[in-house]
Amino acid sequence: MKRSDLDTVLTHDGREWVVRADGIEARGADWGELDESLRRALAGSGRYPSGSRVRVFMGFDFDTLPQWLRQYHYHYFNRWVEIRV
Amino acid sequence: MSAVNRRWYSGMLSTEDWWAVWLGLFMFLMGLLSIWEIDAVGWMAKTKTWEWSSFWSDPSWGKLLKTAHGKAGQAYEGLGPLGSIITTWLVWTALTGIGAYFMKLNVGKFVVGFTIIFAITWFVWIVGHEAHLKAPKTAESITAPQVYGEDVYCMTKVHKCTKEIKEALAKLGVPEGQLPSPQVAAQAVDMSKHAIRMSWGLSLGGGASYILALVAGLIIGNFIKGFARFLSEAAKPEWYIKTAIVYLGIKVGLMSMKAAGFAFELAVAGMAATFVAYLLFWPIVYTLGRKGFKLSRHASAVLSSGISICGVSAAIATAGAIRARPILPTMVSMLIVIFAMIELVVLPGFYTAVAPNQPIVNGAAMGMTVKTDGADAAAGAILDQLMTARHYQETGQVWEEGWILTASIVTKIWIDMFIGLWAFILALIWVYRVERDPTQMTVGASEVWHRFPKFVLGYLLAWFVYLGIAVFWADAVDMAMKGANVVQSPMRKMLFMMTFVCMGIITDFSKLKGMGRLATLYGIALFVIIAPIAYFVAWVFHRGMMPPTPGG
Repeated sequence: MKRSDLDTVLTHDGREWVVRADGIEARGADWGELDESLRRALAGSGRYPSGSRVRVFMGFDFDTLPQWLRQYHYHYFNRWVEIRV
Repeated sequence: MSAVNRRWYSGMLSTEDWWAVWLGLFMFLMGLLSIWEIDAVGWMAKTKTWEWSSFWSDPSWGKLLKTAHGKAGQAYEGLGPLGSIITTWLVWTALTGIGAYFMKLNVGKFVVGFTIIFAITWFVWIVGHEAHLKAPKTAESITAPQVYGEDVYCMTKVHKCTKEIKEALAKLGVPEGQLPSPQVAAQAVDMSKHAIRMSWGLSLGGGASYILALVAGLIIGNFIKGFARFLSEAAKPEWYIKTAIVYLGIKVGLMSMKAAGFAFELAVAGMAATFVAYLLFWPIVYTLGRKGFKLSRHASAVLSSGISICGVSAAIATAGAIRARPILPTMVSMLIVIFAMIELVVLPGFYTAVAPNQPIVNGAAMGMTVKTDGADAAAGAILDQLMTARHYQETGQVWEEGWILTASIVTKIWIDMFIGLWAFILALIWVYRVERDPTQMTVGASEVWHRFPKFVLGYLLAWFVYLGIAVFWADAVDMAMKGANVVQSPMRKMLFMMTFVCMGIITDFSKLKGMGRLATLYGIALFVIIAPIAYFVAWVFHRGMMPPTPGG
C-alpha cells in the first residue's frame, strides 16, 4: 500500500467530482478544476505549509453507483495526485 | 460509510464477487468431506422427472422430489422429500442471509425476497420436469421405432433405460443384439422401471425448466413491477451465477478426470479465441461509435468495452479506467442487461437450428457474444440442453452433458480475467496520453487486482483440486465424487435456476426508451459485428471439437 499525506473519498454528484476528508471539501467539473479546488482547500486548512507537496489518495466511493450495479463489479478507480500547496 | 477499495483485501466481506467465492468454497469443502465418509451435503433436495396423470392419480412429494443422490444422501433419507426441500431452504437462506448482512443489504427484506424467489424457482423447476416437457425418447424408440413404437420415453438418463430394457429382454429370452418382436419389446418396456409410453413429448431436457424460469422472471420484471422492486434486494443473478460457476469448477474437475486432454484443449482454444476476438471487437466498435455515431471518447470507450468484453463489469472497469462520469457506465449497463436478455432468448435456439453439428463452436461463440456472466451461463445451459437433446433425437448418440456449457463459460472466464489488465492499460493510455493529467502521479497496479473477478479463483481452485485428487489420490476418487456430485449437480442447477428467475426480474425492457443513439449502436454492433466475428473466431479455434460420449 502506498503512503499518502491525505486520504480522501471521491464521489460524483451528477454534476461535479467531489473530494472530502477531515473537514476538507473540494469540487470540480473536471480534474483540473477539482485539483485546483483541492489546492485552495488544503492551503486554507492551515495544515500544510506553503510550498509543500501533498500526496493525496482519492478513493472512489463505490456507493456512488446504483446498488443494482454493484453485483457486477465493485471497483471504479482510485486516483493518486500530488498537489503543490 | 463509504465503499472505497483502499487495500488488497477491500471488499472481501462486502461484495457479491467475494461472497460467491465464500459460498462456493464452503460447499466445495462440505462436498469434499465425503472422502472421509462424512455426508455434509446429502440433505440437498433434487428434482425428479414426473408424469402428470400418474401424479394426480396419487399425489405425493416423493413423485416430484428425491433425496438420494446416487451414493450420497442416504444419511438424510429420514428427512423425506418435503423435509429435504425445507432443509435446502433453511441452509441456503441462512448462508445467503449471512452474506446479505455483511454486504449491508436489508437482511429482513432479503430473506423474504430470497424465500419468494426460492419458491418460484422450485415451482418452475418442478413443472419443467414434467415428463411431457422434459423426458427424452428412449434410444430404442429412436433406433428401432418399428419394433418399440415411437412413443417410449425415458424418465431418467437414457442409458439407464437402455440398460433396463436390455435386462428385461434378457429375462424374456432374447439374445443380446437380436431385435425382439413388437410384443416382446412391449413387454420389455413394461418391465423397465423408467421407460414410459406417452402420446407426445417435447424432449427438452433441463431446458424446459430454464425457459420457464426465465419467463416467470420476465413476467414479474415487466408486468408486476412493484413486486419486482420488492424482490430486487434478493434478485442477485450475478451473485448466484458466480457461486454456481465455482461449483461448475467441480464439474469441470470431474469431467477432466475422464477427459483431461479435451478439457485442456478447450481451455487453451478458449483463451486463444478470446484474445483474437477481443483485439477485433474493441477497435471496430470504438471507431464506429466515434466516426459513425459521433459519440464522445468516453461514451465510445465504455460502450466498446461493455459490448466487446464482459458486459457490465467491463463497462464499469473501463469507465473507471478513463475516469468517466458514473452516469455513463450506469446507462451502458442498463443497455447491456436488456440486450443480454434478448441474446439469451434468441441465440441458443438460433445456434441449435443453424449449426446443430458444431456444439463446441456454438458454446464458445456464445461465451464471446452474450454479455454478463449470468446471461452467458444461462444461454450456455439452454444451448447445452437443446443441442444434446436434438443430437440425441437425430442420431441416437448421447453427448455428455455439460461440455457445451463449459465451452461458453471458459471463453467468458478468459474475457473476465482480461478485463483487469485491459482496464489498466487503458488507464495508462488515458491518463498519460489522452488527458495528460499533470497532477496524476501514477496508476496503481492494485487497480488490476481490484478489477480481477474473484469468483474465478474459486472456480480454478475447485477444478484443480478435483483434478489433483484424480491424479495424485486415485483411491479417493469414488468417495470424492459422492459429495462432489451433489454440489455440482442439484446445488449448481438450483443456483442456475435462481439466476434465470432473477435475471428476468431485473430486466425491464421499458428502460430502453430514451436510449436513442446508444441503443441503436449497441444493437447494430452486437448483431452485425460482435456475433458474426465471435462465431467466426470460435469456429477457427474450436471446429471439429465434439463433446465426449458417456463411456466413449
